Amino acid sequence: MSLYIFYISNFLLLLCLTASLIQFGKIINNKIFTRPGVIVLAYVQLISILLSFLILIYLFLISDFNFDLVYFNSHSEKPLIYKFSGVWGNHEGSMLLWILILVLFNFLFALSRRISERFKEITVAVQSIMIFGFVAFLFFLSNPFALNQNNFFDGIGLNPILQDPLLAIHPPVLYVGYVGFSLVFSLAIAGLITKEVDQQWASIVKPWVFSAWAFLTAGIALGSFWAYYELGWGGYWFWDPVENASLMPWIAATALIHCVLILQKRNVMQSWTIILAILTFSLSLVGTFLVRSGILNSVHTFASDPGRGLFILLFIFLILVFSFSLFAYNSEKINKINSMGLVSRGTGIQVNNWLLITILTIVFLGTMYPLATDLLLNKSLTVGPKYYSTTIAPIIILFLFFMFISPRLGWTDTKLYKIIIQMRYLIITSLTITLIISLYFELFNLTEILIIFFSLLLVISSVTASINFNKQNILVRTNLGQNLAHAGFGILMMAVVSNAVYSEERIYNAKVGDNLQLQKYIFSFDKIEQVEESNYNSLKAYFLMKKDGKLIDTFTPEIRFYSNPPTITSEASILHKFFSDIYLVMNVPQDQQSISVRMHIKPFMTILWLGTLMIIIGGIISASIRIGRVDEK
Amino acid sequence: MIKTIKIFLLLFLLQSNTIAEDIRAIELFKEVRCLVCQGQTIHESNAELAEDIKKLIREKISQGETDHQIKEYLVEKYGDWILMTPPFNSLTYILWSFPFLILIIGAFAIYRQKRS
Repeated sequence: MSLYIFYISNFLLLLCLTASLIQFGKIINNKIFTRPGVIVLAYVQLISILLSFLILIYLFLISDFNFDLVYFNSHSEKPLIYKFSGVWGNHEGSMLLWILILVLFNFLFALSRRISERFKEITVAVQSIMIFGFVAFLFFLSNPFALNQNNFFDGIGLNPILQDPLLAIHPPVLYVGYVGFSLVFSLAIAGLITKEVDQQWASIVKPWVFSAWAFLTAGIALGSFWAYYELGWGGYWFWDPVENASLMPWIAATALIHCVLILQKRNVMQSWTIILAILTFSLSLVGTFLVRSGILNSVHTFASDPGRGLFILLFIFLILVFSFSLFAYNSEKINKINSMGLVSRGTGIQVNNWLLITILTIVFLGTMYPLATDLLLNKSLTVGPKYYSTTIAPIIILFLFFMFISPRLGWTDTKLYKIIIQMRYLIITSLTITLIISLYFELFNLTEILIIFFSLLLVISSVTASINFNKQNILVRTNLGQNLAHAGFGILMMAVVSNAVYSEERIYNAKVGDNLQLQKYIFSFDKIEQVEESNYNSLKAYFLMKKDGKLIDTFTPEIRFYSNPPTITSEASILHKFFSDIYLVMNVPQDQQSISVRMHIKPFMTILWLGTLMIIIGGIISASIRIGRVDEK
Repeated sequence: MIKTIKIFLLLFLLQSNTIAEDIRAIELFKEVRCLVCQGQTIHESNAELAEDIKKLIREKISQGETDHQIKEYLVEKYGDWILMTPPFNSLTYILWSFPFLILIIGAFAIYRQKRS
């Protein structure tokens, strides 16, 4: 039985490989091209990959240990949901998922209407050659359907840290974002070849780039939320190389979506938009490369094989060489005359574009620098969170200022003082609130005060801009997506700064019966017990949280002992309140008498996630509005 | 009476001294990498080596060494790697200054484009 499945699934992969090659060839040689042909081949790609993905799910669900992938990453006693999500909890399976999304995007695009045939053909051709590359990579270098000759009784199991419902959906969401940028990249190449990078082009790109961006944001947020409650370190962002790898394409994409908007409205900045589209996709690939290559020490690195890393590196290199030579050859022909005033909305967006590039440089340097010194000079370095916070914070202040002022400026030269006078009440309100906050909370760090001030300004101005009545007192339709996302970013920044300043932590060695204090709360260590679950044993501690003698909540931090594979994990116990989270985590007992318990108060965590959610929803709204709103001014 | 006040004062001074040392120690723990963990500081880690270094730092603080001296000692013994934030030196000047270079180039480019 396993042998049949082996042949069928490998045949399906080869089928997709062939279909992609034919697709590419047909379109390149456009004399024999027929539109139905392209659609049929897109169907073949989709169905073959979908079937092989379903087969892989089936193999994991029935625990067929004749397949290497199932043997190394699954176990018969694992709960059903993690057998299912275990399909992409490993390198080969996650690559297959990546390809499935890639093929799906190509299929959806091939079906879309209202796009000129020639333009669509070229885009699909670029997509097909990409599908070909990745399927070849999957088939030859990381085949998920490899058989083993041994009759294993049971599998090794999935890393317990990955056995988590959030982590089951984190990779697919992230991949939709990454892969979405592949389509944007193909559209950019098609634009370069047809030399038509104009308002029409921007309208085609807009829904794809916005939805990819929204998904990438959501994927990063899910990963961050997972790290917050699962890793038990009390933080939500560690500037870990793998986190940075997903942040870099996000930063480039954030710049890109704004350029697409300017291009759509004003028909300017063609070259820069194309560069950003290429950059965003390359960084998405670098993300894949960094995570898969095994050169990073990280929880995310579940596969390490230099051959694979080399392939992706070569792939990125080819893409960069090809696209930038095409760009160098054609960029003169796509550029229109740039006509924007010095003090205008366009300039504001340009400035913030460059600030984003600067932040991107910082993240890139921080991630790559230790690798470079290690490889080239054989000297190890650590680039910790403080490097990022000290270098990025001043840029964020400027960034928030331009984010606040740019949407208020017109497209042509505007008098800055007029805008400032117009917004005087808003500025005074924000200034007052900031003063009250900083005096009340004894906040005297200038950087932090400025970030809070400009964030407030941004939030209030975005909220007031979205509530706009006309003379008949009817709510006029405003740019809801933009205002929501911008307000969300302001809220996020305020939460990040206040969280960093007001987090508190205590570490205790505790015995049963002890009363531990954290601010105004008392935690009584009630009992500790052993619990047996189907796939792990756990040591569960019970802490009763009291305030003024009244019981508020019970905390149950756990230490879990998994046997397949043998791993020990710490499960945090978290109480989410609107203004602050209370977070308890215990560590492996040093001796038999006491346990080590770490308690955190993390203010504004709920608000931080709320801000992120607003950004995501704003992105989705902007993606779903087909044609950009025409400006009222 | 005066004697008791003196004792209290002495106790208070001693205590505030240890509190200040404690705060200093924790700030330092957050700056020192746990050498056997994955990207954690010794503050976050319970590993044996991390505990040893914590003890060492506390000792050095009580001996009156400055933060700078302690960090220098650790770097000498374990290399630059042990510090969470890289110091500014011949190895790291690109890391620290390149972002500002990028920022200035951008400001210049945008201004020039607008003027023309």
